[in-house]
Amino acid sequence: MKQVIHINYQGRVVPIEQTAFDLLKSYTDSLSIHFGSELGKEEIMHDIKDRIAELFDQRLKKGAACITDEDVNAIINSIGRIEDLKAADVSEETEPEQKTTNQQTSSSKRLYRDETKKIIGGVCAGLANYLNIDVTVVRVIFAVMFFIFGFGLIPYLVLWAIVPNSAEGQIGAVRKKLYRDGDHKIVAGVCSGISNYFGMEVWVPRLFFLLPLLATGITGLNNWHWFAGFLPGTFITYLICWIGIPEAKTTTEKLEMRGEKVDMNSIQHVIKEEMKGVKERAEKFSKSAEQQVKAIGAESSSALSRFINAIVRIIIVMIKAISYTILTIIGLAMVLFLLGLSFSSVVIFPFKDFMLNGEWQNYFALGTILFFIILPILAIVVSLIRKIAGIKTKNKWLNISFISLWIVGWISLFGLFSTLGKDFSSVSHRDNNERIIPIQQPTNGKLIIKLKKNPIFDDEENNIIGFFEAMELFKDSITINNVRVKIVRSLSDSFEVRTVYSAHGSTRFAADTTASTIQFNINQQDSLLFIDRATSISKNQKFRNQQVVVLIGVPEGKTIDMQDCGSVSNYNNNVWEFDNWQMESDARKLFIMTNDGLQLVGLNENQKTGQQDEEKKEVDSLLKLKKDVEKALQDKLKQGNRRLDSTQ
Amino acid sequence: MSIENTASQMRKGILEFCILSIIEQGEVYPSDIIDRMKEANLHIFEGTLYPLLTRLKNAGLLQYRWVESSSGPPRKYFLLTDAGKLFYNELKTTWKEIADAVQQITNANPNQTK
Repeated sequence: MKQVIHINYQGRVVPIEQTAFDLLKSYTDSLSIHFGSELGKEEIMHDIKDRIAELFDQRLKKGAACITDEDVNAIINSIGRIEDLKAADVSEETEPEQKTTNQQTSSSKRLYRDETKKIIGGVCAGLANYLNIDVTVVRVIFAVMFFIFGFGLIPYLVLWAIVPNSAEGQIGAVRKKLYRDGDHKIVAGVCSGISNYFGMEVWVPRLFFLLPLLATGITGLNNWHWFAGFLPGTFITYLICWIGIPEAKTTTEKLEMRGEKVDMNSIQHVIKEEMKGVKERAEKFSKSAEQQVKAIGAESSSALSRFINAIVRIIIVMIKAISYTILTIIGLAMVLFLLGLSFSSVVIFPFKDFMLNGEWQNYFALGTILFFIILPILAIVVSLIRKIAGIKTKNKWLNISFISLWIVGWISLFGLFSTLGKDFSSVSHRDNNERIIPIQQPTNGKLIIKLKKNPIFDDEENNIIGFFEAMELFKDSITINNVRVKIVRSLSDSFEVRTVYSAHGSTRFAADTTASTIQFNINQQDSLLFIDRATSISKNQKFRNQQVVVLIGVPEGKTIDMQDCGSVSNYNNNVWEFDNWQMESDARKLFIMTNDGLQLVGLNENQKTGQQDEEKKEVDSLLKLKKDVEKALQDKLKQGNRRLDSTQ
Repeated sequence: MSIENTASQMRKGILEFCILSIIEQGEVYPSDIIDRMKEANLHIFEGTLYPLLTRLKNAGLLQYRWVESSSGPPRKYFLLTDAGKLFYNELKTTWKEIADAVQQITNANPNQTK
């Protein structure tokens, strides 16, 4: 809800929104400052106000209840903003001297960093000029904020980066712009353009872009994984620069690229300004500190309200700066997030053959990675570069193609997940995939469970990527640790082992088929039961969440020894469940099945017995050796005796 | 030299001439001048026009008349003074010369020059 006030404007009663009135007021004020140097200023202002009143009248006659912000904005647009008027000013030739001073002092309502009065970046001086207060006040506020809150620094840095230099605001002054240098190009002139912009030798950026390639070449392709990570990075960076940075084609652009002044007039202008600035600075520094303090005192006491107003405005500018900072951080975070996504998708990429089924899913996956993940990164980075390079022309086809390709990305993402989701929609039936593994009952009533290392794990040559032994990728297969061991109560008097295979699929039949092809082995050696640690899946089979659950039934009173069983993942209703992700686990757990269920007997007991076994073995072998040696000695003795006997 | 700068300098040069020309064709109200210029694809801000009119008036080239309006207070209508008419005619001849010269130079084909 907005407050509407009635004003008497140029002899007409005008109902107007409070905010619109404020807008109008500040606009006419700025106009009157703008025309400050004109001869017939009063008359011009009167004419313009008459015209505004007339436009108000037209709007009200059309049936508008009151004048709104939009109305005022439309009027301002038709009469012209100060910047527009300055650009189109015809009086420039007639009163050049007045013009420049005018721009320097009061009428400049755009925020510039003041290079002529700077200490660090000219931010404070620019703010002071913009807010029309003494620069020392602004500096003190910034210093206090920096020392007390510590965060005066951030707005300062942001303002330093965002607010243009005062020299840029002056007509004719040219700032350096980032262009691609077509005259000195090897590929697209990106490196030579960068070297122009940063004033460095051209080989520096070239080396930067080529280094990963060179390094890869030198170290050989065997060590690709280290440098290759940078290869696509520099390649993409180069491409982004190629797309984002325009080529310097016209003479103006070429001069801008080198940061050279475009014409004699502007050089003269800049030099003049420079001299003036030096003079001002010299005067400023010659002033004693006392005088400055006096100046502040006079400022604040004579116009306290203005001072408070200024502080409020400084705070608003700071809030703006802080929000810009936050926005920048959010933008950067998004880029990093997407980069992370693209990186992980690159890592996952080798797994796609085990995941994706059919041509369409491959297209969808490719589309998702390219257009849904990588494209927005490109777009953000390109727009950043364009912003930094100060390119304002809108590239329509670029925007359209970005958006349409991103839509393709969304479609791919949706397609991928819906088709993949369908492939995982049904679960195999338990009854069809449960089987009993016949085992011999252990003689001493104790079953020892050991997890068997899949031999393929040692196949280092074919191993491509591994994820901490949870999943290993080989050339033709992946091995997944998806075996779980559950200990339950046996229904009979003997140990029972059953396996349940499960998998997902688009239909229950497909899931059952996949489940039945799981390769999984259990072998027995006396009282030792070896269970495969992982199952391996070939490219033809595809990963459909294949799982194996080994159910070991332990009869009452019997013990079971879980060796290197990893962590207990679940203990529920007296059913112990083990998963086996830890390869080198020392954990040995000894259980006994009681009336109440499975009871943990000890953790280390078995380890001890193991040690004792080993000691016993060692002693046995030593004893055997001793016997052998004794026997050999006795034989030798006998032989010697015989010889002695024969010679005697 | 950027193209924008040069083009805007050119436009500025002919602006006064165009405005005088519109006023010469008969008494006008400033917003009519804007409309006429817009029709000719020559955009100008009212904020630029009013100071220009005042300047020309102060130079004695223009005068204005208050005309009663059907709606609201009377409006300022501008017309040329005698000095303004002379000034305009002078400008017109100069423009013709310039236009011819530019025409001749820009259309000149080196092969056809004798």
